[in-house]
Amino acid sequence: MGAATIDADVKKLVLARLDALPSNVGVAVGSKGSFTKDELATHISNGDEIGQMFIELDMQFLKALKEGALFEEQDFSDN
Amino acid sequence: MKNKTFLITRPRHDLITTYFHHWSKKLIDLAGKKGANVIDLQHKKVNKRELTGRLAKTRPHLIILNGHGNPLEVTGHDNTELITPVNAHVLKDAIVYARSCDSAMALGQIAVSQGARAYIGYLQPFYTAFNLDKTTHPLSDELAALFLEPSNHVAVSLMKGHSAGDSSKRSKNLSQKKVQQLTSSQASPEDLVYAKYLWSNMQSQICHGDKDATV
Repeated sequence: MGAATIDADVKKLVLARLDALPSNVGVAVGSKGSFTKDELATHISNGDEIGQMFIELDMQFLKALKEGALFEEQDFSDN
Repeated sequence: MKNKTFLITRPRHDLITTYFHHWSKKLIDLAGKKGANVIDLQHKKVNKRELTGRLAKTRPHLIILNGHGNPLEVTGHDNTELITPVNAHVLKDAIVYARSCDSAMALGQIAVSQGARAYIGYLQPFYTAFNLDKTTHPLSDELAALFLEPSNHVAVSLMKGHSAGDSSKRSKNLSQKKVQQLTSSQASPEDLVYAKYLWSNMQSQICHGDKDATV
């Protein structure tokens, strides 16, 4: 499977997950700006800087979910 | 916080800084209740000259920087340069919480090397999901609260006397609880999207410097 096919598949997955958001939800990312769901979808489809950022985040999160990292207890100390 | 000085910057020039502006009011109110001397730099006053002058005059124990950022910078109003490696020394002797993207990557460590007691910030972009129907009333935006309550919890914990390291952990623990709720078996596909952004903020938050430092 070529890199282009994997990229296309990854984008499809990320877009499918993004589609779960209601249309009245936006996401702000610092000075990169604030985006509606449709705007984010465009960035992801285009694979531009913003799109790549969201794709990478998706992949990192999925990896953490798969590895169970989300449920590891933080070391907590009380002063 | 009694007899302590707390300085906060609240630029307000775009949507997310407006959200930070409003949500930071809770921190100002808490600091006031605890008897702190509060210096609230807002809007156009969040500039390098004004901040430098106030810091030199008041020597705050706790500094909260709201704004945009990159690995080497926290910005002020209209994204003007506020803190960079060149003037990071102005943060000397304070515990700093920077609610901005990326600045803990490099600037935070530089600030500590130049005398900041601790610098709590983020290694990556700071994500906030928000309700488009609530942007004129940010404090009633329950979606944004998912992200801004754990973030505020850094400062709340510091004001309650917890150490810098502990305050960061308390904030991360609150984030983790919310992430676990959002990824539970009862969670919706929508919740998973929010969990992802909250998880990213939690993962990228770090405390540089003296983790035992208290305000």
